Amino acid sequence: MQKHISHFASFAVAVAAIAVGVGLVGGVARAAESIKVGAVSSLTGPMNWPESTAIAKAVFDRVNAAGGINGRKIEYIVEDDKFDPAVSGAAAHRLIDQQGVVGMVGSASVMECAVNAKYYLQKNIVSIPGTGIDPICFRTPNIAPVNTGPYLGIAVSLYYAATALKLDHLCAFTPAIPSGKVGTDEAMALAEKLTGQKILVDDRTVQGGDDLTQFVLKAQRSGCKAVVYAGVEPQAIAWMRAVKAQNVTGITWLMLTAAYTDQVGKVLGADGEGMYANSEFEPYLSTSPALDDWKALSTQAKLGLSSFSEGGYLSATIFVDVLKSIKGEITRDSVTKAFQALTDYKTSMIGTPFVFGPGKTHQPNHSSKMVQLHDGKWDVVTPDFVTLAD
Amino acid sequence: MLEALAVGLIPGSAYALIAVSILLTYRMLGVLDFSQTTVGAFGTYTGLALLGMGVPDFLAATLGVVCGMALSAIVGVIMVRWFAGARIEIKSSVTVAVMLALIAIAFRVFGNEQRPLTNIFPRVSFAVFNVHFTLATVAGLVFALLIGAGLALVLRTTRVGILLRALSERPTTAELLGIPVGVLAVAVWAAAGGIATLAITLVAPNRTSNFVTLSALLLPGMAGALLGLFRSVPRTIAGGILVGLLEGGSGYFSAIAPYRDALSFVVILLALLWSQRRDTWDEAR
Repeated sequence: MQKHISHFASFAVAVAAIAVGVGLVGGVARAAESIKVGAVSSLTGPMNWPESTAIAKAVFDRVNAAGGINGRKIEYIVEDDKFDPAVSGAAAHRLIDQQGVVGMVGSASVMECAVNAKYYLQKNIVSIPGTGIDPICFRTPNIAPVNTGPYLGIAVSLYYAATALKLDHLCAFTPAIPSGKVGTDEAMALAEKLTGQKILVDDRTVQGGDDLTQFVLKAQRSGCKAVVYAGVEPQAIAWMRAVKAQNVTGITWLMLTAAYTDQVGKVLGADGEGMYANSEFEPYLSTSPALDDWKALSTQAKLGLSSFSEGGYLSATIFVDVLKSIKGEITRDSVTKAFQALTDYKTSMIGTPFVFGPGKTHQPNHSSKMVQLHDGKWDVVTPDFVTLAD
Repeated sequence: MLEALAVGLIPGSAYALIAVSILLTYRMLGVLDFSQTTVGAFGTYTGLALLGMGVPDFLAATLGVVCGMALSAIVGVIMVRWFAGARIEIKSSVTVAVMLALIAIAFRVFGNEQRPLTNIFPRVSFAVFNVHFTLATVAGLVFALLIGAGLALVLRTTRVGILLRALSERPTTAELLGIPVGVLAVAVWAAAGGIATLAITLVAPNRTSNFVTLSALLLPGMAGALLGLFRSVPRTIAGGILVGLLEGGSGYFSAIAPYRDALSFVVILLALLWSQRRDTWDEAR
């Protein structure tokens, strides 16, 4: 009997020791486990936005260098959707199912929101894109971009042209993207409501590689006084070249934030004189102190400065601050919960506080500053943000 | 209405040139060259890169054309060396592979930045029906006509032309007869590459200058060649201009403007049906 008990006892002690040992080791391992964060961006393809995820990574690297969050390092995994919806969907699945990311930060893709929004909702994960582009980015419960977006950008530009520049005969030329219809519809309706004017020309047939001469001439023919063209950087350049080639004068041209780059100023030179653009964030070429940390980090990480980079920086910074605010374990659920409780994150990089909250749609950034090209250089023409009432 | 036609001439002249280069490779070598405009864009961007390094405009553009010719010649060597006897489908597929490879390489080599473009011609333009034509556009049209006429002349009257026609009609027989088929083929590739580069260099100022977008000019170029039924040079030039007119002009009619691309497709379909109108039912099938 004694022998049995002693055998049993030693067996029990052994098991207990192993259990404690494994618990200890497991606990240590869990503490050192990284916080996985994902992003799906269009990094290659006919149009691409690599800036957002590049600076977001720099933000996370800096946090890691300072010890991480509660001893856990952030592991940032960026997937390239190559401008292909199928790849976009597969990337999101990989990040969420295989990698187990707790949130998506800094995404910048033409279609990622539209492709993955339902999946994010299903998996209870939030996404804070650095550059939200398609309308779905601004219309689902789990995605809240830090940027104004092209559709509100159109509305802001038209509003600025009507109220600040006192122009009538407003026209808008937007790309022929079917998925953008709902966004453009809303933008036009909002612009008409805020300006009290009927938009003279609402042309949605501009294709990616088109010769822009016919659209420029259409603007002239229709008697437009202010034209907003929602093209990306190379298209904005081609547009102004066509304006110059066709000798069209007397029209104020407004481009979206994609045209607000150093290169546009250099390449267009005198051809772009007087052209406006909207800056979704505090204008990146200005010397505002709100941009100091972002500029310092960009220089340290050897990254160029651009408006899109501001988006990536802001989305990553907000995410880090939210992670730090979580009491308890950082998991996908706790991150989502923390964002749903985020109702007033103040930052001077955008014109309105960043709000996530429990709402069904999120458009936290609904303002812009306007910039204008003079002598190949950009000037900030609105010292305060132009904010649209919702 | 006349303004609509005039506007269409601007892209039309570019499409005509591209269509001629595609016709060249098709008629002479039996290959549908999908990499034509990508090679052209590569040559153009090389010229732009040289321009960025301080080379004067005209020289930079010329060197770009030379680069396009050299790149196309390399493709030609690949074709002659490894795919000489292959069917048209195989050869054309190879050009698709070349196109994809070049796009990937171009992204690495040239990056994404916008570049100032070459100003080969002085900034003069004249207006026709309220549409301004720059010298570059006029040059495109003139080149299309000159090259077309030159090609027809070469093929019909010179010795090289006869050799080229032999090459295109009976490549194996020509080779057995001692005609330097390989050299001729590579020369044709080089010429096509040069024409394509010229076309894209002339048209780049008018369009979104982005490597992939410029490569995509292949589609309207091929549509133009198709409208010319891949047969004669004058018809091909007319075909290219017609595609341009459709694209530029349809914007004036708001009812059909959103269906611009479909319109080209319908026209191509009609052209193909028209070309087969005399065939009997069995032949057409």
